[in-house]
Amino acid sequence: MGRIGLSCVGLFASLTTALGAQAPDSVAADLSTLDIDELARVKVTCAARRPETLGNTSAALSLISREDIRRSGAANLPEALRLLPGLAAFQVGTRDWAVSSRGFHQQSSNKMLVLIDGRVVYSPIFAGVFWDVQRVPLEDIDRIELIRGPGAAIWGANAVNGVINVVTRSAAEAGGGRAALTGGTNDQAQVDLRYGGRVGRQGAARVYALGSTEGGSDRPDGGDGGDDWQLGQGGFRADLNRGDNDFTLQGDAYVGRGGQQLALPTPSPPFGSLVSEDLEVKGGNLLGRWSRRFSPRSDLALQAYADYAVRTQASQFGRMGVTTVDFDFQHHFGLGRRHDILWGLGYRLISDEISGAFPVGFDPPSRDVNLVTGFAQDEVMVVRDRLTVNLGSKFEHNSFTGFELQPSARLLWIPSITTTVWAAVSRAVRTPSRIDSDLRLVAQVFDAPPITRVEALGSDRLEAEALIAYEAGYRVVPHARLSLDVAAYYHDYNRLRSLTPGPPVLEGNVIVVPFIVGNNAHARTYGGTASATVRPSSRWGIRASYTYLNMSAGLEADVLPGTIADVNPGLNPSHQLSVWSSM
Amino acid sequence: MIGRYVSELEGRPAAGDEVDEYVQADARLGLELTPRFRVALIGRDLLSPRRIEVFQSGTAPRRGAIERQPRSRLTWTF
Repeated sequence: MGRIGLSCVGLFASLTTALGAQAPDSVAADLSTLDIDELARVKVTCAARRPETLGNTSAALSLISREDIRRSGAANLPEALRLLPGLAAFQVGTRDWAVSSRGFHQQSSNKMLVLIDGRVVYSPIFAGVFWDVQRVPLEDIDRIELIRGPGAAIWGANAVNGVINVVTRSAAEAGGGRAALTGGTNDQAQVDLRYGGRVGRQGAARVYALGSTEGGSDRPDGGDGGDDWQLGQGGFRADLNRGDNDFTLQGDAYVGRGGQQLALPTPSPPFGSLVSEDLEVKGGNLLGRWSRRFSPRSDLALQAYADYAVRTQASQFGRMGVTTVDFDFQHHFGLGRRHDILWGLGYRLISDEISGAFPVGFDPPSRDVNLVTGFAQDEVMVVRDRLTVNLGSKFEHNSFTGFELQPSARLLWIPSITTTVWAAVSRAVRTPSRIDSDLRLVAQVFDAPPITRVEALGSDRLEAEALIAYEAGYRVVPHARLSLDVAAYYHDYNRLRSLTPGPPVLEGNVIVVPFIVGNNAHARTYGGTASATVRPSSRWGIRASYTYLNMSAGLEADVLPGTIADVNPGLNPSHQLSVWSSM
Repeated sequence: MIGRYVSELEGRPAAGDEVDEYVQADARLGLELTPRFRVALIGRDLLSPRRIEVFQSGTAPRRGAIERQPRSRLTWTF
């Protein structure tokens, strides 16, 4: 059973991936050539859901700008993510990526929330991100922010290990025409086109189109991995500014195809085969946002979007179509001299239809999932310009586990103009996705009579995976040409995903051994990231970062024999070091 | 120029999906031919002809060796 069990975990982990597993404030400059004190004043929105300076953020935050991305030579979004300190972004093949911070790194990292201009691209079906279809034109990106650690108190469920926030430039900032042609080995070619400009006195708009093709990756022993990839995408963004009101309307549409080679179980002898087939994707989204400033301490924002995505992998799960509609409202105001209140409400409807195939099916094949959320936070100025406390929580109700509470408490101490110290305690949850709740996966079929089938089965009695995180950080600018940022954490995870063997069932002449998804694993991680920016001269910048991770995992004491923890510390590197020099 | 080091992935017991530690480097040289035309020569993963970053186990054969990748990019702004 041990061997079956292991392959089952392997399949479960790989399945989720094989299956493929805001209000913009501009960072126009190249971060590596900014003065150090300018760097500390760069505006970020990810940690607090409204603009604040990088130097005064009470969370572990990494940031890269458009100019950084251009100078790196990255061709697409996941390649650009490699630049973020404290993030493990590893390429699996031509189109697949494993992206996570603070551990739980695997091809479908299910504890990282990813947003593109406020639109969630985390898959509610497979609990992870299909990186192959997240192709934002890099020249239109203003910045990419990464919160390392939980951001759940404002962003909600699945913002457990981190939040990646991709923010594009407003159309007013990115005018004119641009055409870029990129070519490389492995049959790589990419065309990027964009045109934009002013519309009237208060508006601006741009349109873009991109097309890319890449050959398959190599197998380690040579030979073609068969995972070539072609994608075409187009989109637009229009912005209108009328005094204190800002309006944005934007959208994208894409179509793509790729090759894949899969070793899949089959219902009849020899019960397994190597399948080479195409996967097909198409989709689109439309987003509108209105924000209004009442005063420097008071504003509100209203956002709505619709997203449609289809993915067909015929021999695995058939055709999967997902429609998402999301509404989000937030309001910020000052209360007295000391309190700064931010609160909001949200609603999301996710409607899917998955045809299913022999190895992977969903029961029911179609489902509507509702998410109702609210959040509130109070930033209290305890000592003016010196000490701030931030208390807040997300409250949400989802179709799988009901009500979830995700509070956080953050402390920010600014002992001098060049030094910041922060600490935080927070709770975050990963709520079940369809793959946790409704999956029926044939992991392996054994030919020896009687024929035995090992299956993974979802459960509708799951609870959310829960994290309690303790973090602290220190930022200092000891010299006009040097800045340092250190953040450390201890994460305690409970109710993580596990697989427990159930009683075998006879189906016709086949014995089915089910492994049922449960919440019986736990894990602990600790570690940190230290980064430094040095500016030896006005044209030369060096950035270095080091990340350490220690991760351990296990099962609860009272689990049934044969239970497997679906947590793999061995897939995470203990040390990551990067040095980046640009001039 | 970017250099990076990633320590080994021990992998899962008996799954055979460990990955060795590696050092890699990317480089980019940008040239402004005219104010409207720019050329960039880009090299990614320069230090080895191919290597594995992560294994994919399970349903797919183990594809995923990342090749050394020279690229060039021509940009025209108008």
